Formats: sequence, structure tokens, C-alpha cells
Amino acid sequence: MIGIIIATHGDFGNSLLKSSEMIMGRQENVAILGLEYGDSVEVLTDELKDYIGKMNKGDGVLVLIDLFGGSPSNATLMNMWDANFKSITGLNMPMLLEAFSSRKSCSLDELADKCAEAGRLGIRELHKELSKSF
Amino acid sequence: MGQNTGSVCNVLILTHGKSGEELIRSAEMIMNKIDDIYAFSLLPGMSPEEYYEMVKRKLDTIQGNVLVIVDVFGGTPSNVAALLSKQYNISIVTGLNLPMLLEVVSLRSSMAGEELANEMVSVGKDGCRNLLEMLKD
Repeated sequence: MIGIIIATHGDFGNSLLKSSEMIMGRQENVAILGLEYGDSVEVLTDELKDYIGKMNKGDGVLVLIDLFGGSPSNATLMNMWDANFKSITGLNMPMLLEAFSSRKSCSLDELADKCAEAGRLGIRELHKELSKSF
Repeated sequence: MGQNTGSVCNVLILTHGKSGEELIRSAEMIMNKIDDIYAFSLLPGMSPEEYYEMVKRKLDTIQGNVLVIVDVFGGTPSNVAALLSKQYNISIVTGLNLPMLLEVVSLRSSMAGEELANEMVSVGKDGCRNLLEMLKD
């Protein structure tokens, strides 16, 4: 099973995990990294390195990040020489649900692609679809 | 530039659990405090009817444009938003993420309605990328 690490500003990752568990039930092999005020990128970089090691059960680790260009993404980039993980930015709920449902059945590269795709496909204008269907 | 009413577009965030409230807090770590944004958390044990009433009460107090952003297409928050769109003139975008939320703050004084919703979709989708692949380009 591919390990999942969620790295965000603040407690968003933790609460998104809880929200997703409301839909999919309890998940294993997930770690949360939340950046708080005053935390340094160096400490976050080391914590992430540590987590990638711990969460890798042989199939690799997917790191889901809230945003390209903040401290969580910088800390991830600092670990880029580690070949055991892939990372997707723009975390949303469809992306996380895809990660949980597909991580037992595909490779790390495939999972990364699927999650980016699920994130994008999950972003839609609902009112437009409603006007089509009624 | 679209239907600029002279006031900023109000934003309602509808999510399972407290992820919307927390995402607003995350955005506020990056920029200043965000005004005229309201999170509605669907908590365990809350009925869809209660949730619907809670959001409806807020919509009744708002004059002007409203953009609703929900976490995922097809859950209670998105169903409630869809129902409310029959009575209120709201735009709804699904798949809430941080790039979207940061962008809405800077765009909502100059855009509203369809135009703002379109922009949210484009910014949100653009934010979903393979981080390490980006470096190869």
C-alpha cells in the first residue's frame, strides 16, 4: 500500500482527512504535517524526510500539498533527491478520496497521475451542470 | 468586467467536517484576515435539513453576489448548494482548494457570478500539478 503524507499550512490537512473519513471510513498509513506560525522550513524538511521513510512500506509515498510555492512545497522540494516519493499540489477532497481508493491497486507514478487528474476533474461549476440537467 | 456591484462578492464555503474553516485559516496564514467569507461545516449527527436551514439563514442576510464553494461534487454540501441555487442567485464551484481560495480574495472585488466562477475553476485546476514533474519543464 502506498503511504500518504498530507502537508499543508495550518490544520487543513488534518481536518480534510477527518472529512474524507466521514465518507470513506478510517484510513491507515496516512501522516499529517501541518505548518504553524513560526515553524521553519528546515524543521519541516527534516520532518518530511522522516515521515517519507516511515510511511514507505515498499510501494513508495505520495505527498499531497495544499499549494505550489509555500513552505510545505518548499520542504518537499528540498527532499526531491529521495526517489521514494511523488508529490501533487492543489490538494482537494476529490484528490484525497482518489488517493485512498486507488493506492492499493496501482503504482506510485500512476497514483500521482490519477490524483492530479481527480483534483482537476473534481473542480466544476455546479450551477452549469444543474441547468443542463433540469 | 462582469457584474461589478461595487461591493465584494460574498463567499460561502460548504464542507464535510471543519475542513473549510481550517482552509480559511490556512489562507489567512499566507495573506491577511479574510472578510465576508463564511464557512459551514457539516458535522457528524447533523441532518441535511438542519444544514440546509443554516446556510439558507445566512443567504437571507446577504445582499449582492454570492459564490458558493463546496468540497466535493455529490455530497450533502453540494446537494444543499444545488437546492439553494433554485431560490437564490448563486454560483457554485466544487473541489475547493487553497489556490482557489487565495485567488478569490484578490478577484472578488472586480468579478462576480459566472465570470468569477469560471476563474475559480481555471485557477483551481491549474493548482493540481505534479510538483517534481514541474521542475523538469
